[in-house]
Amino acid sequence: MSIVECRGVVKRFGSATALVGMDADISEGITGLLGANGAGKTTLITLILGLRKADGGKISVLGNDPAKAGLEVRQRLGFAFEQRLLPSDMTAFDLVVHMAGLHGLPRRQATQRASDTLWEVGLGEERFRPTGEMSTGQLQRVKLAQATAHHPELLILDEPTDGLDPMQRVDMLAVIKRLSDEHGINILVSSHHLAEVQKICRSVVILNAGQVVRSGKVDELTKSSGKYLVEVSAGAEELASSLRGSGFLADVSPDGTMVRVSLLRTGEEESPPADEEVLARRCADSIRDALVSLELELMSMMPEELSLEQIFEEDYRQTDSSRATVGSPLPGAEG
Amino acid sequence: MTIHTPDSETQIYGQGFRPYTGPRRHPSRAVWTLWSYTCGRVLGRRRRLRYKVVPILSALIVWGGAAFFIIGNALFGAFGVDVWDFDWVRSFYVVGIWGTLILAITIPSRILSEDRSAGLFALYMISPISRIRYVSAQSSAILSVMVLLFLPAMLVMFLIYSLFGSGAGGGLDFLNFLWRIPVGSIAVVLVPAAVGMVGGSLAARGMVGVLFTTALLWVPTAVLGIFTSVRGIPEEYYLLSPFHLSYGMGRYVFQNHQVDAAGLEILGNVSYYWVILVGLAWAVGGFAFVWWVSRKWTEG
Repeated sequence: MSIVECRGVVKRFGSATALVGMDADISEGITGLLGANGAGKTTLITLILGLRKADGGKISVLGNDPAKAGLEVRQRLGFAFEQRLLPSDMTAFDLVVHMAGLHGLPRRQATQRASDTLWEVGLGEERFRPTGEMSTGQLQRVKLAQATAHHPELLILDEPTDGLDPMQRVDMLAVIKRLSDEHGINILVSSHHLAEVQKICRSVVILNAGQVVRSGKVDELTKSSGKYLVEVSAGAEELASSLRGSGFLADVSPDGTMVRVSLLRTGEEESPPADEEVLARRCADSIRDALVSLELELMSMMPEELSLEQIFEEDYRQTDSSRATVGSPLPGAEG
Repeated sequence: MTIHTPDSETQIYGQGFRPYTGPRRHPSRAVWTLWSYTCGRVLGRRRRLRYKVVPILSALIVWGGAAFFIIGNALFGAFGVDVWDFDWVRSFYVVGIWGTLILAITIPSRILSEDRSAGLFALYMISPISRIRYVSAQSSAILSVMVLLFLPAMLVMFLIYSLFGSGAGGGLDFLNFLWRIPVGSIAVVLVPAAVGMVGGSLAARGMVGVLFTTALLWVPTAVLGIFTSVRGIPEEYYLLSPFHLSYGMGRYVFQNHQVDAAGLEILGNVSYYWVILVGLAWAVGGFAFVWWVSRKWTEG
């Protein structure tokens, strides 16, 4: 089931177009929202929250149009924004109680939930400290707690690990994952840290120039690059040239121990002759034959998995080159 | 034999955070949550001592003033002097206005600038609160506290005046006093509260907001004063000054049925209805200005 559905969403700021007929679905679980600055992430979040109205297309959040039912939608959402500011004289507890109250919880329940949530995010002992006396890591947890106390149906986190040290990042990611896995909260994480997104997200939506360039389950996107990685004790260069002789695209890693072999032969990129399984078998047979004929020692051989970073880079390169060809307008300044 | 002791953390999680299935209020109730929270903020509730100084000072001026006039009258009365006349009440009225003005100058500026600079406004905008609801909640909360500060003291003064003085002549006259107290209290604080919010909305720091509010209250008075003395324009133009509007609106509601002429000293021959009208225009315009200006507060 989709939590957020966008169909042909357009958003303009003056002459600049921030979202160009965007289609996207944000499903249950944790979804990563990726994109460079100016890709349209913040614009999309403001539309989801009903703070701005789309100029075209349709957007549905939890079955409602946020532009028309903004109050109802925002009561069911939680949002932890990127900016560091919080009222410095308020204790974390008071802030979370207040925010839970604003999201519809009666006073007694808000007080109870504030305590429980602050314990959950790891601020149990610190909950009565003013936020002005807290570290960046603790502030990030307060922001998470204020967005979570009313148990939203969709929690939106904007750069939740910004300014945290490596250990704090690990802790924060564990808390986010627990909120989704154990407590059933759907989460949309907008982040620049691709490795972190890959670690915790079930799905991703990659934006560039106000459009979705790729979306889907992380497992499926990163499953296969259509290449084999072959590690040999010596003779990687010979192996690569032998495979090239058989028509495969093969290159050697800079340290000279790994050969990266494409499943497809030269000229087959446009229309692959068979499905990936058949191609993988054909490629593996050729690698085996080459190893035997060259009498090389095989150390390891595995299908190459892509990281989100590689996917992201590839998508950006493709969109940028097509944009340069077509000459489409640049998106708005909003990130 | 192995004894299993439950892990304390596990117990806390087990009994603590879990999906919330309890009651939820309608999103439109969020504005009341914000209203009650701001009332607490005006009074410095759950804040450090320095946030409580202004409301305490303001209450001391209003109630200290009331006590001073009551005790003073009682003492003079003991000497057989009939001092329970309306001038005494009017003198208290001026003191009361100053008590509420202190609140109007400082508190809205602090609250609005804090909302902007400390990120509370951004938090409200991601809650079931719109800008119009935000301005409504903040302004009505500030007004409510100011009225509650001013009203009981005024009520005590009027009751004493009615009982011992030359005021209420009968049951109907007494009732006529009674309804004027809440309405008059609102009339007194309306313009200062709106001006305080405008001052606060113009500055990201509380002290700068205080300066803006002070300027908005008295610069027009000074300018109009210069014009009336130098250019000889009629004194009625004082009406354009928010400070005199606050004073004039309250006097209209409290006094016109009693001492009409006394209330006209500063207002020339202008109808009191115009005083109310211009005052309401200042107040509504002020609140609308805050709403308009707040559209920029979440940018970036």
